[in-house]
Amino acid sequence: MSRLSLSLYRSEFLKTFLQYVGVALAFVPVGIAYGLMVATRGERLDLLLVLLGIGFVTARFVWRRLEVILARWGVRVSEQSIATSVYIVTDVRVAAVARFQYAFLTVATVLTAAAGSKGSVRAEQGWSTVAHTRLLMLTGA
Amino acid sequence: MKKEGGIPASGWLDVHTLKTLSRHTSGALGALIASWLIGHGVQYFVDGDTLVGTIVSWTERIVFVGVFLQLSYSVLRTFYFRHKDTNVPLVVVALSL
Repeated sequence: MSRLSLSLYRSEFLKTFLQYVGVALAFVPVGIAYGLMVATRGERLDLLLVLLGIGFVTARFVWRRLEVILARWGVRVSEQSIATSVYIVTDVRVAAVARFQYAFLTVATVLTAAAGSKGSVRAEQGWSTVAHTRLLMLTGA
Repeated sequence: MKKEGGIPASGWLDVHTLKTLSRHTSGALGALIASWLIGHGVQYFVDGDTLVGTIVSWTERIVFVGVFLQLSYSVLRTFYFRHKDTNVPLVVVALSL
């Protein structure tokens, strides 16, 4: 069940559907405005075209914002790139301080996610890249 | 003819484009169905001759037109990026739709 919900969560179809729902919602104020205009002054084609133009610009904005928001749901690195996400740090100065370890983990996670989406390894949508990135720090001691 | 994913890819409509188009079409169809259900659900409780009924009716129509506008834009954009590096003019692609 959880696998099914995760699959639905990662589905590009669902994201596209949500984007189109956002577009539909963006046209609702335009429809209300034109409905008010029709009820009071009658139908006017020029005003309809202007309002449709305004609605389309708004819908484009909503589309892009939703695209960013849905992309931020998370990028999970695939199993293939997990194998390459093992880092060996031999520098004692980095490994000794906990803050440096966290910083290194963050940098490695971000770089891995970016390489996964650009390179031959296909990035998958998921919850967390941190959980799927393995960091092996050897102090050399 | 080049084959991709078991499906023959023609010059202007390959598998990747087909997948993108099906994604957009199903997304738009879902949004249209949702809009239709909500619009008709509201109109069921509202008299169509009143101010609210007129507004709801026109809102539903304009939402439909808006979703179709977005779908058309997405389809044309898909074909544009598919063929922008080739010698297939966009007008030919648009007409072949």
